[in-house]
Amino acid sequence: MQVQCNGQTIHIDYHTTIAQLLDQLDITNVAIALNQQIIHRRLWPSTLLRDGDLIDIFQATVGG
Amino acid sequence: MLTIADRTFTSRLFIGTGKYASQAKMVAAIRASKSEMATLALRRMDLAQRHGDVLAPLQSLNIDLLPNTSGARTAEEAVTAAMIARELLATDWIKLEIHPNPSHLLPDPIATLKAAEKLVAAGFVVLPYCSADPLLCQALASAGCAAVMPLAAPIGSNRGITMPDMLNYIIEASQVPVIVDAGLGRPSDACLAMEMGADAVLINTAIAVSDNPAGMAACFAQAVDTGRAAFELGLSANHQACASSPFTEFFAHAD
Repeated sequence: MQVQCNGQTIHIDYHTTIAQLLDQLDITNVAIALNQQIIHRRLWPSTLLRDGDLIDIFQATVGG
Repeated sequence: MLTIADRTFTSRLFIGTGKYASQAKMVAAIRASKSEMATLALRRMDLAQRHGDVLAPLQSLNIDLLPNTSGARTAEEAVTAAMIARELLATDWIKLEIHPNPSHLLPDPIATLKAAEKLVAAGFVVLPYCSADPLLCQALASAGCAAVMPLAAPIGSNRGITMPDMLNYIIEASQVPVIVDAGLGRPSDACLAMEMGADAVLINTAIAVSDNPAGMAACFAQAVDTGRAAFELGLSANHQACASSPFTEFFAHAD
């Protein structure tokens, strides 16, 4: 199945969780919104992704 | 000692993390500034072009991090950005900034007040970047903001305190700490803000774009300390001429 991740199409296996997706992409220190809903990090290991899901990944950057 | 919400700060200089030529220069400047709180921003990660993580070096400094809502153009977007910041950094503190017009980057007062009310209700410690408007600052404080952050001049403009009268009205009346933010270009600008009685200043551009950011950060730290010390000692309010030397009988002037 496929999901949209910050505008990119990503192919993942069925039963992939948010935590597993971040592992696959080698991403840490981020906040996640799934279909425009923020998902707390403690829920990442138990939140299964579905075909067509929209995932937004936010990170800290420099600023004033 | 400066107290904002439940935290106390020894340094009255807050520092931004934008515009540095390198992460090493940023870290050196923050250290030299002796600042205990640094701002940072949020962005959607670019998966194709990974940038270095700014969080790790900042967290290694062991100072408070104050995320901002930069990029938000409406109250709703600012609230969303604050929620994301809270999730990302595990902090309730947020520098609320909504500046939809890129030509002057001035803060939208109506959207800022609206977002502040929502964020306070959601349990955030809200520090709003705002115009140097005494009535707006009063409204933001009444809405429950933990401090107000009136601008000295447009962001990054280095123009110093362009509205000293307005800033004076704000400082005189404010029930919450006043942090002068944006546009302070020289250490003397920061010193003046502190002499006027501001509780703190936030400096980014003037330090970050210096050829020697760490050196300039130390200059700003000194200026802030000096300005605050002078304010606490009490500056003379007299504006009339008043001789410093005694007029003794020396020349026999007719008058």
